[in-house]
Amino acid sequence: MAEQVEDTKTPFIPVGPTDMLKPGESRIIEIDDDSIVVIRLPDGYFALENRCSHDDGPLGQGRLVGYEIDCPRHGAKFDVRDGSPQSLPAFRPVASFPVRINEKTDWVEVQYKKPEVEAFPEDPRGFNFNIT
Amino acid sequence: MVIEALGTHTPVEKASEPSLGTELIPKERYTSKAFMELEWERLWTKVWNIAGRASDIPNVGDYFTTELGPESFLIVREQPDKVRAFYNVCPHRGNQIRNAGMGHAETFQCAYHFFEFNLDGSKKFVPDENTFTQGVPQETALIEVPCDTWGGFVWFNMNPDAESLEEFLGVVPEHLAPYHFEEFALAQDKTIEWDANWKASVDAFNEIYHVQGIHPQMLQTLNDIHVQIDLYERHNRYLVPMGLVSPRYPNQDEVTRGLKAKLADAGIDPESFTGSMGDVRPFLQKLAREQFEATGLDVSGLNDDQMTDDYHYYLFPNITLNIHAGGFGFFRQRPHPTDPNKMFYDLQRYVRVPAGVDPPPRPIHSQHKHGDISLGLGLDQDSYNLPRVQKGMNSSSFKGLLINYRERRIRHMHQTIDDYVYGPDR
Repeated sequence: MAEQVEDTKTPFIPVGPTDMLKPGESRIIEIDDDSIVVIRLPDGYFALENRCSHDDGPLGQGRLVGYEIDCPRHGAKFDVRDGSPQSLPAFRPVASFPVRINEKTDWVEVQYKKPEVEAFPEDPRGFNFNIT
Repeated sequence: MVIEALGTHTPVEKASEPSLGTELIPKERYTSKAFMELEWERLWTKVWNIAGRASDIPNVGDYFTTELGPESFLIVREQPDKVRAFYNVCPHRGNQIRNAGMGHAETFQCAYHFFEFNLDGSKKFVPDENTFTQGVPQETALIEVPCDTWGGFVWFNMNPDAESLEEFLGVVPEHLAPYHFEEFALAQDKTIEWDANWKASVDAFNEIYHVQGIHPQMLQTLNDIHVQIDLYERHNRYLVPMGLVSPRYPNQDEVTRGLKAKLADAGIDPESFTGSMGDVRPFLQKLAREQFEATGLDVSGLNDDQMTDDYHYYLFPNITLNIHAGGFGFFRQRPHPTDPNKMFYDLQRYVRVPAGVDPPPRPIHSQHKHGDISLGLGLDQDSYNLPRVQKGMNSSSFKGLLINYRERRIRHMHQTIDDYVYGPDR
């Protein structure tokens, strides 16, 4: 797996005070023309793009069980810590964003960067969907 | 329909004893695939089974799945006061509607071809419906099974003509109402695939005769001889006195290490306890009641014995409840879909939560193979022994179970199984 390089250029965007959610709750936050899901668990805040990689529909109304959020349409599950798919029908990850607490303002901040989504991406298992 | 709590006190009167006989219980009931298939066809598909906890589906659209034998079921809160149960199967081509686990849905759309169903199971949408020249009638829906709730649990029954859950439970709601099951929260949730027939597990917990052999440490803290056993229409119980030594224990005057541990658990320095062995139990009972009342828990419906003792209830066919005033252990013993020598042991622990106090976070369910994890000393001792029992039962030398009077809950279970498998008029 490629080593993660810290992004020091993309700014952190404040999304709400640290008490905006109770552990186990989530909220959809609009950013530009996009939206993210901000999730609070007992061990902290997490943020994912508000998109299920199975059908591109919104993920945010999904239910949190442990570290998993499940898509309300077909039950695909994703790990909120890194966006990795945990069950079919999803097999591609969704973008996850670094989250920090601003100690001065006591606000949750998300380092949001618009994800790039390929129309027909290479299957992580090695097949290629592009038909030429 | 929610069955309301009835009783104000748990009846302690001794039930009359049915005639159960003394014959060997044939081992094939535990080892043969043929009997396993009979059980599926005539027992499991006809009884009320526990699906899970109603608190796992607090909001409309919340769902969870549960597995029993070869079947999977989808349990959903369809309305604030209504829970429904469906076979977890798309009527189009058989795909499972949802993966195992919990979730939330506005509708149930099958991921295969996008057939979509409302929360009440009715057909909502079929893509390209006009290509089904035979039509897709409105009855093309999720197949529903009877569903009800009691004790904070959701129950389902594969028999569309099933008696009501209230009838099935018989005396149980009255007996257990004083414990206020609705105030209990889940604190542990595991499933272990055990290498034993489901009945071997039920048997192990339905008799206390084995404590001297498998759990010798418990002789320091409970009476395994003077145990009241009550057999009801289907279900049964025994009441295990705790907070005292067994009559088998060599020193009847000793405040044993086990009793000292119970004092410590209650917040008492054992070295400061000056009473005799016989004083420990009433002391613990009085202290427990004071402590429960101080935290706002209503124990007014529980007698003094219930402050210490295990009121151990068996709900036919596969639910074991070790019930104490502040918490209970719950075992659901499910048959394996294909192998009579295997089962699924669902282990849950519940704690009673005072009003106004946040319950503990719902534990994440985990699944394990036999022996992968420790379940605590007592259950490790049971689970160590069970596969050896199952292997021995498969021996050609072994003909059947020789059951004594103290083990008669086992015989009662088999008699009730026979009512389903062979009929009550056999």
